[in-house]
Amino acid sequence: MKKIIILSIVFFATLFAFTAKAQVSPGSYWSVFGGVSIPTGEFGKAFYGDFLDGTIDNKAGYAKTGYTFGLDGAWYIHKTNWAIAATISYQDQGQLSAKDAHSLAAGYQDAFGVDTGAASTSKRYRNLNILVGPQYSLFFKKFAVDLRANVGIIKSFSTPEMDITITDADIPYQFSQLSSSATAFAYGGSADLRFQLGKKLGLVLKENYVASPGIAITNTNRKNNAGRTDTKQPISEAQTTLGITFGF
Amino acid sequence: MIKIKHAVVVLLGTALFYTGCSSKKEEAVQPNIANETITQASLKFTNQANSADTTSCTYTFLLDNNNNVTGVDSTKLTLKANTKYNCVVYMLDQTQKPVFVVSDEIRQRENYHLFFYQPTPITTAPVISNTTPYIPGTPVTPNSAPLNLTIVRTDQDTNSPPLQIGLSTTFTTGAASTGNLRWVLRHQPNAKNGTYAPGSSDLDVNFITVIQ
Repeated sequence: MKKIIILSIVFFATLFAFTAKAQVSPGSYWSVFGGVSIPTGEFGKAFYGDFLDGTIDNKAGYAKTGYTFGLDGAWYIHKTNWAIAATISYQDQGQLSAKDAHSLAAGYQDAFGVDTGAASTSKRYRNLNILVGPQYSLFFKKFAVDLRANVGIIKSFSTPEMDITITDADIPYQFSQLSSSATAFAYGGSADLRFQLGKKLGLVLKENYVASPGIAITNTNRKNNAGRTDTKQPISEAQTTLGITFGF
Repeated sequence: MIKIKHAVVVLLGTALFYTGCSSKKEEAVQPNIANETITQASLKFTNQANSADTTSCTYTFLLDNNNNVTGVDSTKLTLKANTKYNCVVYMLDQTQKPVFVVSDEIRQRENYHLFFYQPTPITTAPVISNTTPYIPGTPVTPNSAPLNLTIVRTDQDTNSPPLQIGLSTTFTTGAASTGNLRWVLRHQPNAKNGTYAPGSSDLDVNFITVIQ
């Protein structure tokens, strides 16, 4: 949260340096933005489930609310309200907490019916989204509302690594869910509100949603089908960002 | 415009600084919990040629009021010669109220449990593979009259590929003979591969066996 606050202060300090009167028009632009990224759906769940009840959640991501920043642009087609838009953004969705590690340890202990379970977690969810798609804009005096659909990729730089040791009759058994740097298809959509500050300068407040069916996850030393086994981690993020736009 | 460029550089620089921050490590260990408690274990047999012909053997751990084992009681297993039996496992935890059927839980946890059945005496070493229920290292006594009994597991778990379990088996008897049946349940968490070696024993009991 501290990171987000500092980023926001830098952002707003920049904005307050400018005052202007201008009308927004269908001109191509690019922007730099930053904001908060909230994991949704399975990605944000921190739930192991129960082995005997058959409720183990293999896809729970244990992701946390984090931050995003990146570059965005839209190129209008012959001064129509339609544009081709593209976004490249970086996300950090945090890492497993001590409570999450306890949840994993207890879950695997129960799932394998062993004396003790231990979990050690490291690394964070860090990824890059590269998305393109059509944008339709509604123009008002000083405002524009942009609606956009996106497709593209999520490139993971890392996902949490989970090292599990279950021990029964003093015999340890170890296995791991490794950090992934896989790439996967992604899709989403966004709606934003642009405010023109000057001839070439503006502000943009955007709500963005990005989802991916999943990035490949590798597990090592898994010999029996029991306990949580995540082989494909769905990713979905709802993002609220503020940005500065620059006209071409 | 220079102001804008500076602002962008500051914004990106700040963000990249935080991007580079390393992640910390979280560790957790859960406290000990008890394994399955088995106070009574039975094998129930049905003659394949006559479903009315049934028999069983039961191994009971005798408990005091504090659930400490004070002794054991094992019934004799008596089977007909030259007969095929379907056999199923039935296990109880009588320390719980109501009594808990452990064999049902073993079924749920089948992917890391494996039963072994070893008749003795044997005159030649049994075939050991991940599809035979015999126990490696069982002493061979070439000069003794063997217990004429062969056992085949008939159920499989949901591992990939599937492995045998041993909750249900077929017992085939030969000529009349006497000996023992050693019955072992191996608990092999994330280690089950069809063989005896991995894991530890949840149950290891013996029945005097008569084939007549």
